[in-house]
Amino acid sequence: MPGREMTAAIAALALAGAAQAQPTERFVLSGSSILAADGSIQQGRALLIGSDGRIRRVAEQSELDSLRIERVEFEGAVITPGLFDLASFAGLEGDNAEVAYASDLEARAIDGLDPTSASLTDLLEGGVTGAMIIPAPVNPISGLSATINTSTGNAWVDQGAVIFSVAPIALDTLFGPTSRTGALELIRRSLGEAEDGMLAEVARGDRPAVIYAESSDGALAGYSALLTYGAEPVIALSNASIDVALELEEELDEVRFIAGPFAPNAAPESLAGPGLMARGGAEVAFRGGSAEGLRLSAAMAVQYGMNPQAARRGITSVAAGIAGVGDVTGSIEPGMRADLVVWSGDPLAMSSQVLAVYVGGQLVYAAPNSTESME
Amino acid sequence: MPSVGRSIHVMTTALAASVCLAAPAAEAQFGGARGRLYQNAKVITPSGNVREVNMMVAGPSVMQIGPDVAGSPFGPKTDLEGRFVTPGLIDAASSILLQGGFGTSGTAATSRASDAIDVFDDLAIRDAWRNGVTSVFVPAVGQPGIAGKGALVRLTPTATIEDDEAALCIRLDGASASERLAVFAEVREAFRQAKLLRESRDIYEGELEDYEDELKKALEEWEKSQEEDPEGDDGGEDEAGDEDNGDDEPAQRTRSRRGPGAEDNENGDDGEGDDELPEGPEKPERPGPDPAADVLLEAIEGRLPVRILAHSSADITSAIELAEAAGVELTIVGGAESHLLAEELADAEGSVILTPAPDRFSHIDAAARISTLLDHDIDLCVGSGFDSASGGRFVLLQAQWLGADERDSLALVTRDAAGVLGAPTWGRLGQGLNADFVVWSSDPRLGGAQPYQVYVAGELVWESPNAGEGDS
Repeated sequence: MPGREMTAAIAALALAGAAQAQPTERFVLSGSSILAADGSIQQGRALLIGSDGRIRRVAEQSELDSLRIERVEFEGAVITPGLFDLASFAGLEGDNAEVAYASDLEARAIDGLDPTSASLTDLLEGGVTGAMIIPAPVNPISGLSATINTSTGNAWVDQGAVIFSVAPIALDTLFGPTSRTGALELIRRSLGEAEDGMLAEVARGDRPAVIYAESSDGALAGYSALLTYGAEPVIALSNASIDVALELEEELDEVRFIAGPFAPNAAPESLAGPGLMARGGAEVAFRGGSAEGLRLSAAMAVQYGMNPQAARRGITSVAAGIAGVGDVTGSIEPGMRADLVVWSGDPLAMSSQVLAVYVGGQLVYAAPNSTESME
Repeated sequence: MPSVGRSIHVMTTALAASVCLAAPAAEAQFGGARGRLYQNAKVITPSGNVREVNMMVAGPSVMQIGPDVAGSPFGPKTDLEGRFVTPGLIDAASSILLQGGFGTSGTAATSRASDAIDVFDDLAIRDAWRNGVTSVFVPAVGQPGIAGKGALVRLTPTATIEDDEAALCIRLDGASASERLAVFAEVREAFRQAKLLRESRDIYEGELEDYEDELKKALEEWEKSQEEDPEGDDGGEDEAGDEDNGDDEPAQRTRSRRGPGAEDNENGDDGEGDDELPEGPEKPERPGPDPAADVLLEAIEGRLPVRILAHSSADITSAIELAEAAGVELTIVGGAESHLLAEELADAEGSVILTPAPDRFSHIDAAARISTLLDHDIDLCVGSGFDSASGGRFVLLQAQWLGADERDSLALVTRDAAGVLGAPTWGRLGQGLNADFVVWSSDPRLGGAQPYQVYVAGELVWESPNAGEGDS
């Protein structure tokens, strides 16, 4: 598959290292601050981008001032890694809700993807450069996720996590379970019987899994069922996540969680969960449904006690990690792909605007009159 | 913790009071200021400037604020350590505290949001504090139509309803086109009927005056005729008295509701003697009471603001038309497409309270909405909306999400909201104004800020679980 080849190619490049390819320094990108790997916004830092489309150095602006190469400066701007939206339906223009099989491992999100979809463009122009797309979670075993680059529609990972679902719609299938117990029985049996293939990989912990739920009890039941069979599932839940945080209090440092999307009228018990989980050591990322929804969900979690640094990581590096590409993109560090967004301010402030988007070091979007807005 | 803070507060106040009694000279030197001094605050003004000030708070109000304000050296102090401070935020349209919602249908001008408010709902109140919100306008939100009177509520630990007749609320956002048309026609008719009632009352008042004049005149003529014919007077008076069941006092007749002369006339239609009472005028009929129309009349006469819930351009057009026809001041609540009618709203001197819009308006460029309205000098503020009584109230976040830039966003949920709502002591920090303020972890206009402490009526009511001790 092209996505796999691309991943392999990227990995090979990384292994080969700079010594072999000798990428040249292409330009210096600077604003007033950057989003550092720990989620803090650090003033006075700038980036050196190489000809291979990767970040070569992250340094004080004054250190890079002496380099005689092109300089792209956005006065007063904040530069962040491209954001990542998880458990997204972006680009899935066709019907991706397969209901003929309750256990539908072969339903791949990538098969429903339209790489030219306007929804991908909307994400990109909103600062989201990557998305983990999933088939609609309408079956207990709903299929495979993919991780895509929103600027090209190409896949980094075309056969990603297995999506398990205990959402109400998955418990009322035509040709399968009609209850949560039935759905979990199917999941347990499938994992227990798997000797090879993707479910066996899930049971060995070699392939990521996501348990999608719409209630805290459903999420906990599905999570524990998958854990029993050796899987290491990521929990995707928008409602009442505080219950999950409290229930898993002792083991939060092993939990990975996809929170949101949060509507403005979301209940406090949903909003307080991500902060509680992150404080307990869980990896928390967000599902937004749109670029704005992604930032809003993170900003609302901050309002309900989530550390802002953890929230910024949750829409960048942690999300890229859950999507399976955290070693390639999602943070501003030397060697990472230069998938970068230039903002007028902190992305957690809803007033902040996207000024420019770089993917692989190439400018792929510049906001109309972005220069004016910075002056 | 608030309780610890409060007990320290009480102890230090007691200590300061005893010291001040022993040191009148020191007290005089510092202006005799009693209260708590909040030092080293970075107050963000509504115009977006940051001022480093001290603030003296006495009781529920700000006594003094400025860079040089100094309290008694023995008085209680809280060092805010250079943290950002804003006035308590205002949620200009919210269903917070509404229990069970509104079940009324059709015209219900006399219903009040305050009747459905649970002032003891501390979960909702704490949720608002957590977002820096210290006061709200709770509209009446029943079925489409005239919904009732909204309330201004200050989020003290037990909520305080400051005004239970703050505004007349009308919903024009029916579910279907036919429902919207029917609702609009019904509301317009209600206002028309109220105006007719006022006219009929005016006519009645005029007719009553005429009636009294005529009655007086008739009596004078009768008295005059009696003076000219004193002989007939006695007999006439007796006769009239007999016929009028003993009501023989002319002055009482004037006050009498029914014209006794009429009866007299009927009984003595020959008109033979001057000693009989003259024919009296017919008394006008008083229009019946109509409390719902009285509420609409309050609005028509400018004593009650009108807030109309409308999102679509069609509904906003109807609202403008209604306001013009009824002669009421207009505030649009909702306003998803209000920018499309910015010019018309400006002409109508209307204001707008923006709330989150239904999904069907999600395609609208939010930034264009706010900038267009502000360009037309339309008074504007932000509310969290009516989807849930327990939902979060992110008004500052929402102001930005709805398209306000950093500078405007804070004003929209403080000073400007107080202006639109007509609550002059809300939304600003100044001498004599409410000591409702929020201490923030960082600049609240930028990303990642959280309320650190919230004060309402001069009392610390909420503190972030991560906050350290703030009291000196």
